[in-house]
Order: sequence, then structure tokens, then C-alpha cells
Amino acid sequence: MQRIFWVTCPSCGKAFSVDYGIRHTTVPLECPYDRRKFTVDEAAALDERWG
Amino acid sequence: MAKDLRTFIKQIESEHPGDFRRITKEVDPANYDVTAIMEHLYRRGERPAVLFEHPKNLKGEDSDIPVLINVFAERARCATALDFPRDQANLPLSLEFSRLSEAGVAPVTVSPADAPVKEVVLTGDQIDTRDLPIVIHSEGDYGPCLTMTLLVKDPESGAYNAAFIKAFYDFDDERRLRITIHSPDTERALAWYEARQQPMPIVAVLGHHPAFYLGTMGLTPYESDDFTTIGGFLGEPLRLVPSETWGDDFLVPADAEILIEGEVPPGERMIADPFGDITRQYQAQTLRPVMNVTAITRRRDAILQDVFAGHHDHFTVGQIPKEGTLYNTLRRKFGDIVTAVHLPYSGCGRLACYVSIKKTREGQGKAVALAAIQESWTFQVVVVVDDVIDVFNEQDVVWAALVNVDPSRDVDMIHNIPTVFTTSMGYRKVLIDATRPLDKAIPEMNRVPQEALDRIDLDAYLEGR
Repeated sequence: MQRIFWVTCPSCGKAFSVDYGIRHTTVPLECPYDRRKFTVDEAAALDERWG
Repeated sequence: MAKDLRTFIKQIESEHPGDFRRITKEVDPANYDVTAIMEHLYRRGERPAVLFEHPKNLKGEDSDIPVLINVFAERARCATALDFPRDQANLPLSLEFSRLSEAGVAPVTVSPADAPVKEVVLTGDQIDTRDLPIVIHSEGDYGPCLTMTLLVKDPESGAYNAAFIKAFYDFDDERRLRITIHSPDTERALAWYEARQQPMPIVAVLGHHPAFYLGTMGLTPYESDDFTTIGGFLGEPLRLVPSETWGDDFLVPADAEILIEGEVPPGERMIADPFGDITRQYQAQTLRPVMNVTAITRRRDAILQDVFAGHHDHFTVGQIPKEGTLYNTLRRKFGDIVTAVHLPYSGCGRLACYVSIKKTREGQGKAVALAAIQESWTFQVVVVVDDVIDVFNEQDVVWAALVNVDPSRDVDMIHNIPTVFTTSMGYRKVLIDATRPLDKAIPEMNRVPQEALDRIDLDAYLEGR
């Protein structure tokens, strides 16, 4: 089972799910709604609730 | 004439016209036109294969490549693809699938001149994936996505392996795809190449006879050759032709509609997903291998085939193979008390498993459930019912659970066990013994006498209407 978390795009404000394996990396994510690339630290919001 | 996608279309259009629809109006697959039309059809309870004759490509131009979707959405249509009776499309079809998995017909190699897929060959600067009418399926998907089979070759045994693997259009490079390798066999092949820092040859097959794709789902060992297995499903040798990129070292299906050849560079990963996937949930964004496209070959009048992800078209492809295998496994273990197996659409053909048994003593239901849950990592719930219940009739399965189950003893939860999908059940699985208890007095299921059912010829009575 894959642990996920949610990020909110800093540009369009829409949220999408991300594999938790890249939570503490600087890998640029890519918003599927507006193609904005941003790191986890640049996200407008995170939802990491789990368990 | 070899079996291919167009022989199948011709067959269902003539023999089962309700199974096939043509949409002549222009559609934009990258703006959800295709999946919106499909969703409308599903909501009406209609699941035909649909050919979109005038789609736009990813440049927004009119494409000369139609899109075919939803071929696998009906079990009866899958039966037709395997030359099997449509009225036996439940468990008998699953058992036929198991039989075909072991049939095996060796492939043959033909020259490029005899290979329709070589009618158009694009290499180098001619390659542009934006020329394809690639479908975006669900809101929030990473982007346009090819959903059919990718081929790899085991470098040691020489066996080919085929698996349904998503290939996303790459917004940064029209000669690259981002591929979501997750099948064990393909992962194993990739690990071999990456351990040696070598690029892995890989080929996307975007259209072929549905028996070709069903054959790729045959549950066979890694070392077995999927081209031979596919031949068993086609009932004839699969025709192969040397690839453009690797020649005789990597053969490809000669009668495919479109092939995309490419190489997976070792160790390279890029962002891909989300994607509305098999469980109707979104696969989360993550790092995936990429495929640098080296050639695109196709028929002059090629059709791009696609799977309607997260719908029956997607569920059935995995459901049928697992049912037959599980039935045979349980029969080997428990004998003929096991009467049927079904992976229902409500569980996306993956999450839930219904088994019926001819129960002779208390406890058999749970024993069968325990055995079944170990047979697939995708199962989260197994329900066992009596053989009077048709496991393909979900209403009856739920009824049995509602009247037969004592939750204090008939429902068990297994904790801390590997699961594949991210659901609220977490690392847990549930067994439900919904067979009628033999050790206490409770009512039994009502029924019309079998003698009366056998005696009454329904059509003779209805003729008088």
C-alpha cells in the first residue's frame, strides 16, 4: 500500500496526491491542472494525515 | 488472413451490432470528449466498444488516426474475441482463459513488406507524439495517457513479456514518454538492465486483436514467452517482424495498428501521475522511468486503441484471468465443494472475491476464504456463499451476507498483511463466511421447485401474450 500526501498548487490552488516517498525531497512536482512545477516546500498547503 | 483489430471490428459489427458504435462527429480526446461520451454511455447502462472516427491530435489538428475504446467492457465481447460462446461468459469463460494460458502457439516471423504495421515508419526528427490522438481520461490526470501493452524482452532467456503499462505524454519532450512500470515481470527486466547501466528496449503496442491483449494477461512464469502465450489465445501464430530500432534482436507484432519503439535509460526517473486508475482512485504523483522514443511505425489507416481506465473496460481485463486461476487453485485444495469464483465489478475486478461452495460441514466457508485471500495481493475482502447463490449475481451475494452472517464469528479481520492499493482498510483484509450455518436452526432461502422450473417452457406461455 502506497502512503500518499496531498499538496496544493501555489498557482491554481488545486490539490493533488503525491507519493510520500518524495515528501522530504526537492524533486519538482508538476500540477496536473496548470502544469506549474514546484517543490513540496513551495506548496500552498500540505495534508499529511495518515493512519 | 491473420487476426488483427480490424478483423475483430468487422466480426462484432456484423454479428453483434449492439456491441459496437461509431462516432463520426469530431472529438478532442485531450479535452475529455472521449471519456465524457463514454461516461454518458455507462450511466445509461451501455458499454459498447466505440470507434471515434474523427479525433484531434495533441496539436489540436484533425487526426487521421481514429480512437477505439472500451473493447473489453463486456465479458460477452471478450468471449467473442476468444471464439467462445457468449452465453458462457461467466465462469466458463474464466476457465477457458486458464486453458488458453497453457495452450501456446509459437510465433512466426514475416518480412517488413508483409507487415501492415510497417506501412508508415517514422524515425529521428519525424517522431512527434503530439501527432497521436492521445486520450486524457479523468479530471486531475497528469495528462494524455496511452493505456495499452508495453513489450520488453528478458535479456537472458530471450522471452518477451507484455504488460498493460501506462505511458504518459511528456509535456517537456514530444519524443519521450513517462511510463508507469509496475508489473513484476517488467520491473524485473528493468532491474537487470539498470544493474548493468544499459538502456532497456521497450515497445508500446497501441492496437491489435483483443485476444492479443487478453493473452498478455495470461498468468505464466517470467521465463515463458508471451508471444507464444498470445498465439494460444489467438488460436494461430502471432506474426512478428524485426523492429526498426533493434532489428532481429527485438521482434514486434506485424499486425499491430501502431507501435512506439523506445529505450528506457537506466536510473532516470521523472514525475508522472496522478491517474484515475483501476480502483477508480487516483494513483498519486511519483517518480517514474521514461522512454526515449526511437521509432513510431503504423498502418496507413491506423487505429489507436485505448482502455477506459477505472471502468468495466479496465476491470474485466484482470478479472477474467484471476477467476479461472483461483477456481482451479481452490478446487485442487478443497475438491469439488468449490463451485464458482467471481471478482465483482463493485470491487473493480481486483479488491473483492466471491466464492461459492457446496458446504458439508461447519467451518468450510472460513477455510476456503483463508485460502482465497492468499491467492492475490489485490484482494481486500473475500466472501464465501453457498452454491445456491450465483456469485455473478451480486444482489444475491449481499443477501446471503445479510441473512447468514453472525458478525461475532463469521467476519474475521487479518491485520498487518501486505496490500496493493491505498484504501481505508490499510494493511488489513476481511474474510466473510456468508454460508448458511449448519449448526443452528435458521430459515433457508425460498425457492420455486426445480421440477416446476424444468416442466415449464416459458416461451410457450409467453407466446399467448
